[in-house]
Amino acid sequence: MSIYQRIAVIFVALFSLSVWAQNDKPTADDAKAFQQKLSDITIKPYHQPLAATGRDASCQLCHGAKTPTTPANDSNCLTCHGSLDQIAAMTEPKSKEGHPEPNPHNSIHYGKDVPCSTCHSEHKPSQVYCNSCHLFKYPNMKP
Amino acid sequence: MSNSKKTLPPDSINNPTRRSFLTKGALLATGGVMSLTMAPTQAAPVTINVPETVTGGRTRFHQIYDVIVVGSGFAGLAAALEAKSHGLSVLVIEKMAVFGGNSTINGGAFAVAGSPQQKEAGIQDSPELMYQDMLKAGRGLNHRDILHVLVNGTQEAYEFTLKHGVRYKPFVQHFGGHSVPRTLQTVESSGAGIIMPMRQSAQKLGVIFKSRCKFESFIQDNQQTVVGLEVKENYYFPDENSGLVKNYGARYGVIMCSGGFSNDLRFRMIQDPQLVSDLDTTNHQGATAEGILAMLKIGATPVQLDLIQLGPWSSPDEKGFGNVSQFNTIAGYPMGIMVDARTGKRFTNELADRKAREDAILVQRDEQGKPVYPICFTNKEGAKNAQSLPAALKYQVAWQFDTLKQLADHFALPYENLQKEVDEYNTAVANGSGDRLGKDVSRAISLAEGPYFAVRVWPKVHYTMGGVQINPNAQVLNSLTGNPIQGLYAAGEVTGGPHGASRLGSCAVADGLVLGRIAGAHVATQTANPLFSTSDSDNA
Ligand SMILES: Cc1cc2nc3c(=O)[nH]c(=O)nc-3n(C[C@H](O)[C@H](O)[C@H](O)COP(=O)(O)OP(=O)(O)OC[C@H]3O[C@@H](n4cnc5c(N)ncnc54)[C@H](O)[C@@H]3O)c2cc1C
Repeated sequence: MSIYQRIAVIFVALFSLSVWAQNDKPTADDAKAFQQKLSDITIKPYHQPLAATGRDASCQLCHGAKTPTTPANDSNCLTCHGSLDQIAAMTEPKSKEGHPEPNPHNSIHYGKDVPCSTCHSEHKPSQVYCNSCHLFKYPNMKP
Repeated sequence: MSNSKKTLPPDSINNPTRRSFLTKGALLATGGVMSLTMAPTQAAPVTINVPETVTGGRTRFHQIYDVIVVGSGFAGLAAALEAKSHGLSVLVIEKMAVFGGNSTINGGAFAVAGSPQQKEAGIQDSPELMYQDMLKAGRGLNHRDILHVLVNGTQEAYEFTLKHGVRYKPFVQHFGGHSVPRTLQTVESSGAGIIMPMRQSAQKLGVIFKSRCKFESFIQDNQQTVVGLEVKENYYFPDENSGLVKNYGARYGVIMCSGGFSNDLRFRMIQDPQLVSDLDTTNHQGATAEGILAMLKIGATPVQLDLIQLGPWSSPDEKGFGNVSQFNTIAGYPMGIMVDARTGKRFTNELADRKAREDAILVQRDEQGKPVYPICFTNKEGAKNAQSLPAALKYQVAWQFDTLKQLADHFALPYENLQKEVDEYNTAVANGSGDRLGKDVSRAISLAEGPYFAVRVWPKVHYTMGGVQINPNAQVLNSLTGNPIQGLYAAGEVTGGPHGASRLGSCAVADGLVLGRIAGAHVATQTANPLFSTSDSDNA
């Protein structure tokens, strides 16, 4: 499945969820406050296209049907970004020469087991967990 | 609090109707679709009447296991593997997003008395000699019963790690304060080389792991027996508002392997007010005190909590353990020298134990009390085993110089003093003994030839020798009675005693693995708590 196909599948799923959610009949005030809160939330530029169908749906894209009070579950990130193995392969240093930065997605300390949200954040600056002890530079990591 | 609330007779706990009802209820409560996908891992909670306790009578347990281990470092994994190998169901909880705590960022250096590598190198060693070394470094404050257990268990623990796929470098190293080279190191130069294979092994054997699951407090019955834990699932360190409170039951016992508290600024400063915030630590962020505090709260005996060790080999130019620490332990200290940045003169035996070196470095301050970072260096030959050197050079926390003069100029050291100091040291090296500061130079090398590699040094908070008291079975002892708190074990850095005033390098791996295994094996000798006398299979 291409990434676009995958996104399409997610949107279909989201659409059915939001229909289901409407049965809850939130009051107008609630809805306003909710919209206000949502528009205050940062969405990183590279994820903004995903918000095109309306921001409340895009919460569920990452957070699933749960009220988003915690970071997204990894499996939702991986729906679009590929498997852990694929991600690790993408950031594998091309050659071991010149002492390259180690692969953050397959590290000596944690292998491929680090949850995405340990480093990547959508609504606040991302931070490289490794750098609590190291001085690695990952220029391609989006802040 | 009373016992009189309506309770379930034991056999209705597993009543299928009740279970399916609760499962449905739980699904409705959490709002549907997502929980469906989690159904296989979340079975029905059971409510059990725990006889009147501090935590109240009726307690709803969401999950029940034979053994619950708190913490996923050396001690936790050793305990889990051992308990599992005795046929028990085991859960390991870890509050961080990642597993392994300090153990996986550790240097992978493991003191083993009588290893095959020592025999091959013709080095005579024994548990008794290791005991003497640790006692000396500990200034005699060591709890000797636990120390005995520790030194006698290293060989077996070494073999245990081999069995689980750990690989070591083919040579032994000489760490400060040890009378002979006895330190093995993983090929990865990191404790990850022990943690990763052990965790994979444990997972294969069926040990259950939960990360982002924080231990909060103990659940005890009216005999003070620990029968379970309150945890927060889905906890996002360090956000104390995150997480969902759950109760887990433990039929055989709970093993606390929650590590030390070097990164707990509040608690470490209470114990040693000198360890203020401008002293960095080598520890991971989760090295905090709540585990030990919870044990003290239910009566555990505190041991030497103010004995906190600084690592005397770290660098002020990088965070945490970084790359310099390992350069210094492998190269800088055994194969080079450290000098006062103002005088160019050596001021301590670079192979003394940690406390001696830490004390000597910490007084290197100017009139205003600001640190004057000492310089440690060796030459190319001395640095040949220092795997972290290329990275240290890359990030400019180590520097290379062709000549001593260049080195002196870079750090504004008085060159003549430095040259004299190096000459004097080289003479001792050539003679194989007679060093002015008493360093064992029998395996040292001459520093006559460049190029040189140099770093700046400043200690960091590294290890908390203190903790709770355990007996040789790793049972936590009650401070009032001296008897074991039933159902409660502890191992690793959260315990106090074996290291006394100062831990020798590479002895924490030994401590965690040896005592962790003992805890896991001993808990398996207990009988299952009749509170949970159900046939309920482990439901996670
Ligand atoms: C950078 C560094 C290098 C080191 N190098 C060496 C070396 O080469 N050789 C050596 O012998 N020693 C070394 N040490 C010391 C040694 O690594 C530690 O003492 C050892 O790892 C402690 O093991 P442990 O299992 O007791 O605790 P840890 O490995 O720290 O594990 C404790 C775990 O418990 C978790 N935890 C804590 N509280 C809770 C809670 N409330 N709920 C759930 N989980 C919790 C923590 O997050 C952590 O993952 C080093 C230490 C550091 C920091």
